[in-house]
Amino acid sequence: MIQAARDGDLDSFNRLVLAYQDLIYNHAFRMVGEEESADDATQSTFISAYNHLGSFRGGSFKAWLLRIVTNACYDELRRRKRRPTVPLEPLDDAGEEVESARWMVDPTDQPEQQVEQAELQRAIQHCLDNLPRDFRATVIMVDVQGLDYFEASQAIGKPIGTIKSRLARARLRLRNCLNGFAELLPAGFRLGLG
Amino acid sequence: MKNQIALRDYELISAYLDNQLGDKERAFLETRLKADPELRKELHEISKTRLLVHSLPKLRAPRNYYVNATTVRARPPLRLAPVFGIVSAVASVLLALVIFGSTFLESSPQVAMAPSIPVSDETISVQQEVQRSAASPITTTEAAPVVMMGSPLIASPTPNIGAFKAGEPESATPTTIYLFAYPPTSTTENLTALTEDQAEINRLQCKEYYGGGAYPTLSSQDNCPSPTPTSTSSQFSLDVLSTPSPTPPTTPTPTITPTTTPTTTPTPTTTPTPTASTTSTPTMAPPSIQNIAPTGEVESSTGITSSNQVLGAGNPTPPGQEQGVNPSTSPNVSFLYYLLLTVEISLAAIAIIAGIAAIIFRVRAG
Repeated sequence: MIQAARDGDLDSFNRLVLAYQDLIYNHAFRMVGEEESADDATQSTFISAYNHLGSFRGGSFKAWLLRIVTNACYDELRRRKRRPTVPLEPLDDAGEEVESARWMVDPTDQPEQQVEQAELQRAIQHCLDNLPRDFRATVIMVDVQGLDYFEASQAIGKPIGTIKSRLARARLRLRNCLNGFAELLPAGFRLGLG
Repeated sequence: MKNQIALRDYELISAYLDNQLGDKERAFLETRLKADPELRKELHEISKTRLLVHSLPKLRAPRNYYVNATTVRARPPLRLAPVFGIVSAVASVLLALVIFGSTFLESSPQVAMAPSIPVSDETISVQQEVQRSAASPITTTEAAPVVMMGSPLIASPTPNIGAFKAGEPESATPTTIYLFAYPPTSTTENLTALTEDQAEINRLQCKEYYGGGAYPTLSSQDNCPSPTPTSTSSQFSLDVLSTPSPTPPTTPTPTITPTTTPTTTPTPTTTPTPTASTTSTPTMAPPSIQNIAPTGEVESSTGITSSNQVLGAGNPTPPGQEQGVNPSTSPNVSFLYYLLLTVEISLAAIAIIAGIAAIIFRVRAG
């Protein structure tokens, strides 16, 4: 199917799109944290992939697509950095951002389990957003997408030793960030409680 | 306590959780985990973090991202057409600049090269000619007598003749200087008088040649086809008019005897050359030349003097000298012209090809 797509068969390429679009969109959303930006990044990823199919030298097509979408997300994050938005975190009395996201707990009348689940996901995404982008891409590929170190190395274009180092640092930062959401975490997942 | 755990330990823990450690590293870490409760706690928390991130729901794409022909094929032409258009425009501008520059360059070098080089070249060539004449006065051509006798008469007017008749751009500077040295009114009159005098001299030479054989090696015998004086004078006057600059063959041949002296004696009086430098210049000539042909030397030195005097007046370049200057500068100029021509052709080709490509891509993009 990949070879047919390289020969210009658009239907074959669209079958590849159908097979990988959830993976690519999921990765884009975890990278940029917004549905609209993730949609744009996913669309540009498949267009760019079709236009550059000639540069695909074999190997993991999934890793190749993840590399393209990661670069598209880097562009989006760079663009967003040029157009800063109002930070999500509130300011404390000293005018500094509140590190913990406990303020996001919204005591409404919704079912408690759904609320907790949604808040937990937002907390994890919040911690992902606070990671450096290289660490974020690595931890999303390995811990969210389930790639092994070799595939992650191919997708990021770095040696496996770099992947190991980035992954360890990213997990350590995530652990420190999630410690601030202890009450949001399920009982079995509460950090520091053994 | 957490600070005691090095980053290397976190890398081992992370790789251990992903089952990416070798047997030795795994055994080493498991041994440490059994002995170090703090490290075991860190392992537990990193494992929970990993599971939390992995527990994030797998999002589904909100729509299908099918790629159609208009999406993927309309983009490259839209990107390439402006690029080719810009390349064509830049090449056109550069071509215009190069053409303007080459046009400017065609007019500038002649003006820039005129002043200094001819002066030194002429001075050197005249000095070399004098030295060469002094060193080997015998090795001269047979045409020397005609030139020698004619030179005092035509030496100074010749540049004027060349300047008036040729009218070429490179002789513009000498023309101005000669006009300053010899007023146009006197020049025309002198030219007519000199032509008539020279014709008369030639007529006498021919007469003596055919009568008594006084000039057995007279080279101008070709100018005396018949004893009739009228035809000889008219033909010889043309030769006088076409005689070139006074510098090259002014040395006399040994066949010229002092009998030629009476025929050329009136020439210094008819020469309109200013006399200030005329009297001083012959002293620089070698005495051997003066011994062989004293009047000829005076005549030839008159020609040199007039040339030097003109050079001193305004640095002119006589027509005979310019031929010695141009060859030294023409290779660089021609190379520059070829280079400019190559650049112009290349830029024109780039402009045309890029313009056509831009139009094609624009049309294909619709």
